[in-house]
Amino acid sequence: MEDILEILRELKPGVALDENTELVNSRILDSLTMLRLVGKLSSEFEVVITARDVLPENFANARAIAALIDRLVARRDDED
Amino acid sequence: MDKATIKKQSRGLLRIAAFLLALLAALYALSATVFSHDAAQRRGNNYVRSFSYENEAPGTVEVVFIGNSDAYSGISPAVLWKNCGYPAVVCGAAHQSPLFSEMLLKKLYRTQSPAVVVLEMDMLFDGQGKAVTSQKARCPDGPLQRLYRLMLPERLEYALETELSVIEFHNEWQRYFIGFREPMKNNHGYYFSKRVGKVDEAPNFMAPTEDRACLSADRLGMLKDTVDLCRRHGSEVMLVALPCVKYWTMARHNTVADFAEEYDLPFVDFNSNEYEDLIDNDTCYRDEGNHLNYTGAKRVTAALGERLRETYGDRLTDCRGNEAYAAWDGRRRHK
Amino acid sequence: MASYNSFLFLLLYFGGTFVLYSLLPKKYKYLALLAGSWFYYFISTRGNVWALAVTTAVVYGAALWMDAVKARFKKDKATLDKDQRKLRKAADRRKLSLIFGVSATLTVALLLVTKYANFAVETVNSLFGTALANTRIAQPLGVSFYTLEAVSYLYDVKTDRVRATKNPLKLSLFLSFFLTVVEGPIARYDDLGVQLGEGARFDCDRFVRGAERVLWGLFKKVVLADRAAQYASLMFTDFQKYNGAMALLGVLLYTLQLYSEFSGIMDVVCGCGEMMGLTLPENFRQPFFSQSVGEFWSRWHMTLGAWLKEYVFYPLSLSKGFQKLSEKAGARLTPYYAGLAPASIAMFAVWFLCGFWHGAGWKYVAYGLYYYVLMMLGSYTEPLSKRVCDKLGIRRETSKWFHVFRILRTFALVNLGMLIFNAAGLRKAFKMLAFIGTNFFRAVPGKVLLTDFNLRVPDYVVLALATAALIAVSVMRERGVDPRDRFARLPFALRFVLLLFFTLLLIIIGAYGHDYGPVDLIYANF
Repeated sequence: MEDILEILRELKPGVALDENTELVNSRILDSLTMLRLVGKLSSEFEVVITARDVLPENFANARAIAALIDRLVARRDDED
Repeated sequence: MDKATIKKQSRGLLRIAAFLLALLAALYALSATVFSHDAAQRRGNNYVRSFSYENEAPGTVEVVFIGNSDAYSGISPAVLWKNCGYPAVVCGAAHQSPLFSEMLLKKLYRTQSPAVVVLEMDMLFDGQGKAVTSQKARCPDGPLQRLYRLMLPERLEYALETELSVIEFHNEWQRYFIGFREPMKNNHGYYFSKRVGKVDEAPNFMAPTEDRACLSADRLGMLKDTVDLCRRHGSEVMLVALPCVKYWTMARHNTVADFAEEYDLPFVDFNSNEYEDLIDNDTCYRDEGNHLNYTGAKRVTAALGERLRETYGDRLTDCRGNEAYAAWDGRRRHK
Repeated sequence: MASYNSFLFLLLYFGGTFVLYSLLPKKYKYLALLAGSWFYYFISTRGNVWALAVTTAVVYGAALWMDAVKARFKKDKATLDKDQRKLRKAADRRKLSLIFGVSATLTVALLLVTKYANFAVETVNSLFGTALANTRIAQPLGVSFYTLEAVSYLYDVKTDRVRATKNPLKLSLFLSFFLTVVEGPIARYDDLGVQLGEGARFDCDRFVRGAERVLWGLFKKVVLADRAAQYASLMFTDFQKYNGAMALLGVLLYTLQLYSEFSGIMDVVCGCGEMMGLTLPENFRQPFFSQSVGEFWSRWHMTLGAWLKEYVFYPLSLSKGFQKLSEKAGARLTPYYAGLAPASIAMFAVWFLCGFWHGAGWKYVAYGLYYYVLMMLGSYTEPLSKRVCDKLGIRRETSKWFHVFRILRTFALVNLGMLIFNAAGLRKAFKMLAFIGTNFFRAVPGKVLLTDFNLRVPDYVVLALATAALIAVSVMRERGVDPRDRFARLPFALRFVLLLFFTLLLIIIGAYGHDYGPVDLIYANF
């Protein structure tokens, strides 16, 4: 969770963020920022984030992102 | 569903029904008072001319003329009465469509049973463009075409308008702020004008051609529906084209002629060579070739009266001297 | 075609379908919607239903096939060892991509041919001087909308978001649903499709709320949009006769017309859905409060933006090819710009398609790319802009004045976009823009306002008051308040009278009938 928040703060300096901050509707995460976030998340956690995973509900707030990462990690481990 | 829900839903349904009834009642009330045809006439709204028959005593009209501004500018029932004694009324307004004509005729037949209905054909081509085709004009018929015509959005709109005049004349509300126009004079639907607008140049608009003017698929169908309606009510139907140098063409004549032939209707075209000497382009138009003035209307109505007498003489009665029409006899001048 | 604000639509198509819907048991309610939709589509197109039928059949078959492939893998999974499974998965993935590719291409090809064929012919003719004849294909009703829904359904089935439906009637209903087929909103199967299939029981409160929304939508369309249209449409064709200020007013009124009409129709459509217990996706969220062009497009025609984002932008920018490009860029540019590179290309595709989708003409493409350029400018100058603001001491996130400045700036840019959108071509758009600048104060007799535009003094007053009402409601909604909630708290008798009065007001001051020029639905031709 902390890693995720750190990445978010890196991308959007000056914006107050906690694990419940509304990310998508408030436009903190617009399309371009989202891409950069996806890039950083996939390299940081070594998961493959596809277009199918990029849904508003998965990125609504930091907690939703954490849940997504957990799911993707589980999926990755399952296949190995 | 439990009892409480059923009760709640029923109560809600009753409230919705009450609302709809109240709305309908309000619309009828407005249509009978502020937005009625009478009020529109007093405020000088020209479009109420479509309903001129409402000023006539029930069951007295023998001939009904239907059309757009060409009709109400070119046919004078008072002149017709003077010449032939046929009580007539002109039911037309600017840009009146064949579909609206059908709707208003439906309402007209509730109180009148004219022996003859005359349809002026300029309204068929209003807004239809100038495209022509070499194919014969055919009225699309068949159950599908009739279904499409039945489901035209305008049909319901016009039906509602003729039933609830508040819908047609809703915009009168503005008149209370910007002032009324001259109250409409009752000349049985005729628009009296002595203005003279000389025609600049009359192109040879009736040059012979095999072309037909293009019409949208529904247009002829609407005309047919109107003709059928009149015939169902026992009226004879005659098609007529009043003089109009500006917009009439031989192609349009041909389209109507095709239709008239297919449905066995008499078609009188006052633009054709037969009536070459009827109209004087220098004195008979009020706006340089589109609408006739009183001089033109007098002549056309006289000729029209003759044709009516020839064609339907046995069905039409000369009502001069009849006490029920004393009001007609007393009229001397146009208002 | 009976437009959504016509008596025929509201009383017959919606009214009739609603009655049938309410009478049928829940399991079969969707049949009422299907009958209504098919009847509406058939009558509106005069039987020109072949394109929709073909699309429905293709999509139905392809989706079931994809699910069959996946089902077979599930069955065989246990019997395969790890390596075989990997091979099989890869093979299946290729197979699914093939099925998806072919069916999606066929569907889109139908759209291209029926909507853009003449545009292609004209372009080729003007580029190569040929004289190819125009085709006579009639554009199928709603093709731009149902094609996007069809492609989204295929993609959602492919990526396991939704299961292919075995019921062809339910799929047909989804694509041809009479409330969404003409102007959208563009829905997804797992949202609207499922709702349509399930059916909802009648509920009085919901019915009334939906009806209130319909009335508000009609107000926006018939009182506001159609009135603004009287001025705007004439101004766009004849601006040379007037002056720049009046032309500018024409642009502003066009924007007002487009917004009121489109969002008004959406209110009618969503309200009708609500009356039947269906929740249709929203298309607007007070777009003129946006502080940037990017934000504007997340509040305007939201379902189109969401579709482009979900089915074009992310699949493209997160594809393997693009990721490689991003890595290459990462090696040479700063991280900020490195991330921007693949995004910019994907964005170009999005905005090109957005413009192109709106119409078969170069001005529409220009319209889309106009926003692309603006957004790229914004993104590429973001670090610079930040530095400038820091230097000037402007706290961008919190300064109220800065917010206002941004809103006004966005408003101006959007209006410029609307000028391009509505002008009769790019050249005319430039002419009009130049005219506004050079002839702004040219003398024009004031009374043309009352003679040329089918508008009288009371019309202008109504226009102003209705716009004020629109703004007031928008402010409320921006603050998170639904006016209907406030309204519902009033006593019943008062609500009854107010609604009655509002409905009568609608009928009386609507801009329709003899004294007004006819107004065509803007988005119905897409």
